[in-house]
Amino acid sequence: MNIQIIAATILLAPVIGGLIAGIDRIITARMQHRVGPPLLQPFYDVLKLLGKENIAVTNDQSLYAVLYLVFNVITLVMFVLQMDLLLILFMLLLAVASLVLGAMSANSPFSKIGAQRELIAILAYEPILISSVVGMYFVTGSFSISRILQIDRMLFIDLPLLFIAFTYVLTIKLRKSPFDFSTSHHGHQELVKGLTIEYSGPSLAMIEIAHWYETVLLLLFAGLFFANNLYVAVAAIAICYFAEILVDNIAARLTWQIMLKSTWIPGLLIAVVNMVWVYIKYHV
Amino acid sequence: MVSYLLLAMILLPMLLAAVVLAVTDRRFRNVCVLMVSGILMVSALLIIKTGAAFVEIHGTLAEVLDYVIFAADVAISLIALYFGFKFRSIVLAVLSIAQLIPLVLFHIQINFAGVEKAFHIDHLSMIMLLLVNIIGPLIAVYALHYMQEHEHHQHLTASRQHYFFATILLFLGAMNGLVMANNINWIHFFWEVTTLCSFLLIGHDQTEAALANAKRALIINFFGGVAFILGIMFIYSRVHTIAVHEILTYSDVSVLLIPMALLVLAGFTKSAQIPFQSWLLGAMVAPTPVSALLHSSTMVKAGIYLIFRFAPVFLGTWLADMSALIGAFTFAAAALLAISQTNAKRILAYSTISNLGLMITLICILDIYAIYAAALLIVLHGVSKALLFLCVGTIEQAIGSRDLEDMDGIRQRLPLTAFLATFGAISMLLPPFGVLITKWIGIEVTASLPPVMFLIILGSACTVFFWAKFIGKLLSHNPEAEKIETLFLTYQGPLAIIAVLALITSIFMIEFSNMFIAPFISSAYLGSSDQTIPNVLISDFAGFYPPAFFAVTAIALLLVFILYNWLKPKRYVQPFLSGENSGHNQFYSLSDGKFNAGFRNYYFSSVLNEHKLTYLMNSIASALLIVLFGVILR
Amino acid sequence: MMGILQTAATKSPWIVHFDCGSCNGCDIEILACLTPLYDVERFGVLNVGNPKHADILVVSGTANYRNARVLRNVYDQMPWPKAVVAVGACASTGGIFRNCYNTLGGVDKVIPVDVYVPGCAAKPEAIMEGVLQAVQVLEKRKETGETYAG
Repeated sequence: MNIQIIAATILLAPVIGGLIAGIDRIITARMQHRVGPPLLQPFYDVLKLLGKENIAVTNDQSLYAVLYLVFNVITLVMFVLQMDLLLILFMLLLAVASLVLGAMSANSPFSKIGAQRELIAILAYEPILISSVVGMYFVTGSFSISRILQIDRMLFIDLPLLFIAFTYVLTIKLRKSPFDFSTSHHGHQELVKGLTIEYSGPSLAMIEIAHWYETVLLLLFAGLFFANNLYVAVAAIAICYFAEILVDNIAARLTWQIMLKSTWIPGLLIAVVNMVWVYIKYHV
Repeated sequence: MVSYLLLAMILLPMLLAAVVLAVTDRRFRNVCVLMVSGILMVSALLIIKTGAAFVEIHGTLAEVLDYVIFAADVAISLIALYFGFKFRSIVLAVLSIAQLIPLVLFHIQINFAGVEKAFHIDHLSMIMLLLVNIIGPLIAVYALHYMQEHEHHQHLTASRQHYFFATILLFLGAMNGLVMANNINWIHFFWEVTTLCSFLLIGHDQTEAALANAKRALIINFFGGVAFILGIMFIYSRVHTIAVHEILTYSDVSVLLIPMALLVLAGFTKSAQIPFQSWLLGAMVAPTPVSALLHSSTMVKAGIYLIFRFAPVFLGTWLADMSALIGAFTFAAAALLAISQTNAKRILAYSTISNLGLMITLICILDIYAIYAAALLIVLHGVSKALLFLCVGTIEQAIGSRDLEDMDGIRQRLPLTAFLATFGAISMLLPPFGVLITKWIGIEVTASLPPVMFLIILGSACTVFFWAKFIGKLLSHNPEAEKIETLFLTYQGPLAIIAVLALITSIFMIEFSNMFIAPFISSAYLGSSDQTIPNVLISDFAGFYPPAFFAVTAIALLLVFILYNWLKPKRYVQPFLSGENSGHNQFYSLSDGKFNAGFRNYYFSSVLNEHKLTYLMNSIASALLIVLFGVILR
Repeated sequence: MMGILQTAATKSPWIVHFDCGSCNGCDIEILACLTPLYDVERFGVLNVGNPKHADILVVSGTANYRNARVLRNVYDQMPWPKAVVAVGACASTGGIFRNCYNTLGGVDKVIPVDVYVPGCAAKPEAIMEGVLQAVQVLEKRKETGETYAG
């Protein structure tokens, strides 16, 4: 049974992730009064990249791209197998760390700046991600997803502020504008794709696929807040992602200082407020 | 049998220290150090094989020993007094007198009485013995070659290595005594010996900076020593015993709260908790083996050991909660400060302080998994940190700098050392290695103390930041770098052994816990007090199964290997510099000159000003300490 | 499998735009292709700004002694299979700067050019047509398995 679940996750997640990316690109185009690419465009991109020549600056650089993919897959599988949420966050960290190390291993200024910025992003979102998990723990009494799913309350009702903080850092985690400064999406070219600049062909495809897995994982994570009702959860995920696209299109790039300040001061503050009230409600 | 082993582990290193000091011949010294290392390792393993035991000393021998140790303890205070006058430091002089008077008064009060069961080897001692007697000797062996190079760089007229190795041997003997002694006076004596040794080792190079930092280490640790002796006097006045195992069985916590607070304070100074961290940072001026020794297996772990030893008495009280908070605060603050450092050794030092804070937090949490995690972290951190310090020392000898920014392309210049250093850093940061798992347990068990948990969360985010920068630098590629590594068996050999040990301890965490920590918990925590802690094994912790983590990682690496073979770069190009490349990472400027594209890591030195932040952190931590004592001294 | 890869290759041409010192007329027209009116993303075209991610190098302006090295570097840093589109009169032949003392002429003096888009400045429709022709070139290169020729 477990093996079927694992296989289904590994096969289905990139399809879903790719479709989400395709929808994202179409909605973005429509918001800009354009027609936009076909729905399957992300798959075309990745297949094209897989067929290209793999050029690199250093010989172990592609290794890190593969590590990034493999660890993202493992993290998603762990999530689907309903394991411990903290452990899942640590595995996710491992995935991002491999990407950062890959960028730092190539002796290229743009990719190194991207790596440092990604590290700052980790510094910004990690406390809030862990806080969300801890908030869930205060409500459900467990860090494990299997137990969290057994609770018949909607977590969102207890953790609205944490959910807001979570969606805020989701923008950073998905590297969307205004916080896309480690890879610089779309037309923003001052970093010429930062972290991923020295990757080409198949290694770039690995990173792209890994990003699909990551997207699915993060959206499932957002869904946890509404886990007791499947329809609400799906609707919430859809609204959440639509909001991300909207913000992506209307927001200008911010500096890392603003990102760090806004996540550590108001972000963590509302997270703490929420944690305090939940703690008092269930534990005092 | 056990008493002979005790002799071999405590007295023999001390005696050979005297011999090494007297005979300055290098070969003879090397033989001595290698011999002691071998004996220490074997004796530690033998003593663990014999199992938990009390060692009794009777009659004249016991009396003589008590007098000798008292005399030596007094002598240490007098030495400190001498240095107080020599350095014209009033603080040091006052502290040494403040130590001397209670020491003498107390011994007169108890009429120089001893404890029949002079040594107690339980499973906590065994954990410490493993750490001290395996990592310590390896560092000493490494130092043989290192010190030769070190003195070569210093251009000394006469070698001072015999002082160095004598102190190291004395240090190891004292640590062994400290973790096995059952007479609290003796613990205090060994405690002071480690203080003195660290003072001598930090000041070994005799430079101005070395002496200043040695003085600071002596002052701060003597402050801890004074707290210790006052704690002992309080304990005696309340429960009329100086035998540790009897103190531990005392059931009424409230009576012992004040002395316990003093002992915890002593532990804080030795374990360099904020606001006492400055001596450990200053200790970086010493030769690298000293840093490795102080940071991994000895010295700072002595403070942790003391708190751990007495934790069963005060667990669940206000004192424990406050200590946990201070530990967690140190964990977060030191990790934050580590971000701003470019000096590789200082980064490691802050990381040590941070991890010690986490250990104290785990020790002071009333949860069986916290105890498991604390004991595991002591070992895992000791092994990894020894490896890291020795690697940084090797790198420093080779490239003449300990600045992280000078380590670009270190992977090509010193392949083996860089690989081992990377391994050490990964074992401190990433799954499936143990340190991260203890952090995971740390977050889960502190759910009962939300502020503590919050600090641990913040701290772990900062930890990721500075370790990732560290690892990234070690792995960065520089095609122009050339290999300059030279291999010696006694130089890289200990490094490789420690790396293997780090891997083994992480893989066999469960076996280790069942063998050492579980018996320790049942004897120290479950035997005496009421059953507030359920008796369970670490493997019952949700999802805790290191072999599975390693298996998953191994499968992942296999997958990566296969995919990587398919993905191997077909062609190498230069990095992207907008097409302006004139070489690898070199570009033409406007005037057609060639420039290297340099890029430094981010250190936020303007935001994270170390000086200002230290001041702030010290103030907060001092405030917490004052609150702790204010509440307890009612 | 190879068939799918080949179809995909034609559906996702990513371009990198390099300006050899053109008068910016052609550059504006190239960027105009990205605007809602023309929207080249319909064909999967993305302007990536980084040779290592790109399939098609779009060059505007005259090649001269100064920029030849840079142009060559950018071309070398693209992964195979790749194609080059010279946009505008200057890029194609050197244009009005053809016989200047400091110019080499068209960009084909420095790197192999596959598609020439005439015009001064070239119309967006023409540029799009040029890029899509370059896609055909890419497809052919993929089929014949032509390797990198420095």
